[in-house]
Amino acid sequence: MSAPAWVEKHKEKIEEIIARYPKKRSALMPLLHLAQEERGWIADEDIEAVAAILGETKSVVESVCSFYSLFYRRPMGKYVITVCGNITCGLSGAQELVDHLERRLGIKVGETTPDGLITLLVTGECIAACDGAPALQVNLEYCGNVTPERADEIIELIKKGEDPAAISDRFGIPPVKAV
Amino acid sequence: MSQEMVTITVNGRQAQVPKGMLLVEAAKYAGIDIPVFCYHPKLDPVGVCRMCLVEVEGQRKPVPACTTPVADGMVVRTDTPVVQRLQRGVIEFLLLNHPLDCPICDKGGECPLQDQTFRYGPPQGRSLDPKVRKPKAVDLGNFIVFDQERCILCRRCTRFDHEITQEDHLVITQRAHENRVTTADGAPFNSYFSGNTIELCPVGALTSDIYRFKARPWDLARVPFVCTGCPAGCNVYLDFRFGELLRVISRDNPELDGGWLCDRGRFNYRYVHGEERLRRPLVKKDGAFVEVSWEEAFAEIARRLRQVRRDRGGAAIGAIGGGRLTNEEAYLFQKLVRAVFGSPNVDWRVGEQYIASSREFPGRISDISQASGILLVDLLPAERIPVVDLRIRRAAGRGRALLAAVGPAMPTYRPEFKAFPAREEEIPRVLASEELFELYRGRSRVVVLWSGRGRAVGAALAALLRRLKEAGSEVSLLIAGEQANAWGAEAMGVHPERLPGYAPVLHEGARRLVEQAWQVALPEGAGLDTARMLQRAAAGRLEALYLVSANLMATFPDRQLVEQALSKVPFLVVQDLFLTETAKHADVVLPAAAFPEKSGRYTAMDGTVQAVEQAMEAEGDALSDREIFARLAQAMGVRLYASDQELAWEMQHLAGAQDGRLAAAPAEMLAGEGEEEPAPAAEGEGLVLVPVERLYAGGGTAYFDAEFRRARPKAEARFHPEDAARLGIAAGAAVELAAGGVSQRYEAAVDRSVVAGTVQVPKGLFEAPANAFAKGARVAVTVLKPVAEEVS
Repeated sequence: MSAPAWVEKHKEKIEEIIARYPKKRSALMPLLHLAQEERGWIADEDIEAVAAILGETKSVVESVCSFYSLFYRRPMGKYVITVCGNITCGLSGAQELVDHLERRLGIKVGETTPDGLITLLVTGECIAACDGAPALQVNLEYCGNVTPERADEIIELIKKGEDPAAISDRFGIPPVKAV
Repeated sequence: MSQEMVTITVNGRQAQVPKGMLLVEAAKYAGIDIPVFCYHPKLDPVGVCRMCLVEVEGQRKPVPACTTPVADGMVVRTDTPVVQRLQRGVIEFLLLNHPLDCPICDKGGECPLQDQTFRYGPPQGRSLDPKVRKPKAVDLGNFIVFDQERCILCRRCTRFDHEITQEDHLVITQRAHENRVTTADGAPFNSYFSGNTIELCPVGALTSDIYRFKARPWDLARVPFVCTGCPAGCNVYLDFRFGELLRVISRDNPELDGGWLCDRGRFNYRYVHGEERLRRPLVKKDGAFVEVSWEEAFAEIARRLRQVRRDRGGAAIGAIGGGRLTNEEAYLFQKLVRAVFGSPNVDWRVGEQYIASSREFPGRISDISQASGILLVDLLPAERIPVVDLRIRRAAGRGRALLAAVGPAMPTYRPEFKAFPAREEEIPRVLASEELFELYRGRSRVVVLWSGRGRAVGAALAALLRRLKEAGSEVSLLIAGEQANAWGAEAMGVHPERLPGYAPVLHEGARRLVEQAWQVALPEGAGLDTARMLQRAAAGRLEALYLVSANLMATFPDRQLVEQALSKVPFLVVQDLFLTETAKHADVVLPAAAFPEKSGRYTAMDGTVQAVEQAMEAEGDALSDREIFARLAQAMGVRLYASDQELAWEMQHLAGAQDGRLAAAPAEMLAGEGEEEPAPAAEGEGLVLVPVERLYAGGGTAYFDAEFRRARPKAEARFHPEDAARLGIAAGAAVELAAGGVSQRYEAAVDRSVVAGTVQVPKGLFEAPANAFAKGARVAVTVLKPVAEEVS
């Protein structure tokens, strides 16, 4: 198997990342991020390439990669909607939100819309947005107090190709005022 | 250097303990046992299981004893209600999803989880939810079956694979309740050391495919023994059930094995009971083997050898072997040949190694762990002496020791090492180079490990080591024998030019001493070495050949010569465990006892002598080699030895002390005593063929073991990536290697560790015997079937 394109394309960047750390091994996560930015997910050949670059085994790279739910090991849609399924959001209607999104998008959790635009995920871990429960992320941008109606508006913006940061600006969680 | 001691108090008992020691170990000084799961004295502590939480006065909360070093005046309690509650909690947690299938679990009865639940656990768990089900028989590799449900995620196995072997196959993936031990994309866990994880596992999660479901531990009878697979001399326990050998496990000897075993030693034992063991003596009649009684076999051998001796003299008889025998048997072998056959031709050497020890540069295996410089010469330690390789990896991995390798094939290590690729005939030049000398100069302790191949290499090594010694280094030379007891055989005089104790065979005084002890005249002159015996036999000038545990067809570098010699020699006796390629040529085949079936002493590669006691009855009519020699001598009208005491006295008298450490070969033997150099490889086209050892290859115990055979290496030719690209060879392609009228098929592999310009093939395979090619041959490579590029 030949190395994926990003290895050659980002040759200098890879060197710069490795140079940041006293131990080469520490560059493992930044390189995985780089790979995911390029492809949108992490393929076996990316794991192999990172292992080769760092002189580690594939097992070690896979071990780290699999620990983090935000490294995707299968193709994802252009937009990934991740609904928080932890307790605060759960008590605030996250399940209803998920049910609504499934109906609206015509897919189940874990699936991607046929046009490849949106993947729907539910995280078991708290995304640290309890003040905005129920909350979700569009790619890594936060949206809070997501009622089914607000969810529909978010999807409309996604379909228009809106930037996730801009979506978050409109549907984000207002900062907590100092008491 | 005396260690600084501190005083601690555990549960009211005071103890003096070394400063900085971990609390879990220090508590033992006070007679207190702290329960653990993840902690293991041979691995770095991680503190993940929380079983060892204890209270330390002045600390706000309980601390893990496995990661807390002691301080002077520390007051520790391991028996408070708080600690007991934590222990109950940890056990309850571990058992939440543990299947508790103890009645059918291999570990049941010797299981830390069972024992600690019994001692520290709650009487009952509170969870009402059903347990999480996981796969119960995951094949992790050749020999390991993994029960995922039983795993408590202590990480001992993954830490072993990271810290000790430095191979990083096994890791934990996912997180929380989805955590599991695995390899990347299910690649097989085929480390040479995988079996150690079974012993490390504190539950029944990692199990041996061969031992699985075979016995309850309390039904096993345990016999301490020594592994006879290689000269590392690892200590083992043999576990028997109703006389059947069911398991081999480690018996920690810190000086030799450090508590580890390789998978060949641990899993290659079922052949002992195998169908393919020779169980009766065989005599060839009209071209076919016929089972006969021992009396008949001995009578036939005695008749033929007497006839040869009468007609042609004893010197027309040759005898080869001894490196797999015990010291006692090796001694009796050469005595049988010299005193009873009347032949000076006896040699332990069956392959390329010509020497087994070095008196001038003594050393111990454990020196490697203290070394500041390690040099590997013409040796792949993982393939020949795997457990010793773990010491090398540790010493180099912790950055303490400079590591370099010289030879035609390079080892693979995670830590950096200096590679000096050199064809066999180039090695002396590299050893004589200033670069190598400068690399090691001034290093306080230098340990050299060598294959014992090539007299010119021996001479060059001696010169290098003398220089380093003069420059102030402490220098050791460890020779890793091709066979487990090469040192013992050499020391006992299984050598054409040396009597027992290395006494020169031509030395008048030495001869007299032996003659007086044996009460017989020694045959005249020096004997023929293995190569010369074979040459004589092939030329029709040797009348009889007696091979003892010597499968020359597989081990001797010139297969054609062996084949000619064995076909030509009028009378051939082979004494072995199996009907090997070599034994098939024999006129008489004698079934010898396997290692657990006999008593005696073995000599490790640093001279350590270890005695073992017979652990089981021999299969069929097989006899120990000692008994075969004695009874054959008897059939020829000679009593080989009167009693065990007399034999012990005689060996002590002629070969020196038989316990502790055996004497090593004098300096002049290392320099090679003026014997010929190997012919340099022909210059010219083609890649240089480099036959390399593979731990699981060989034509004997690995092949004739129905449960181990699956792990044998395939006929694989390894190319350097540049050569592969130039020749258009893809990994997996079928290739043909040809030279000098010999051609063989291999599957191609591409490997960066292969030296450019060479192609590596395994030694000791029936299907592609590398020794069919001339030594150092340059081979032409033809691609028979290119493999299509993977579709990505």
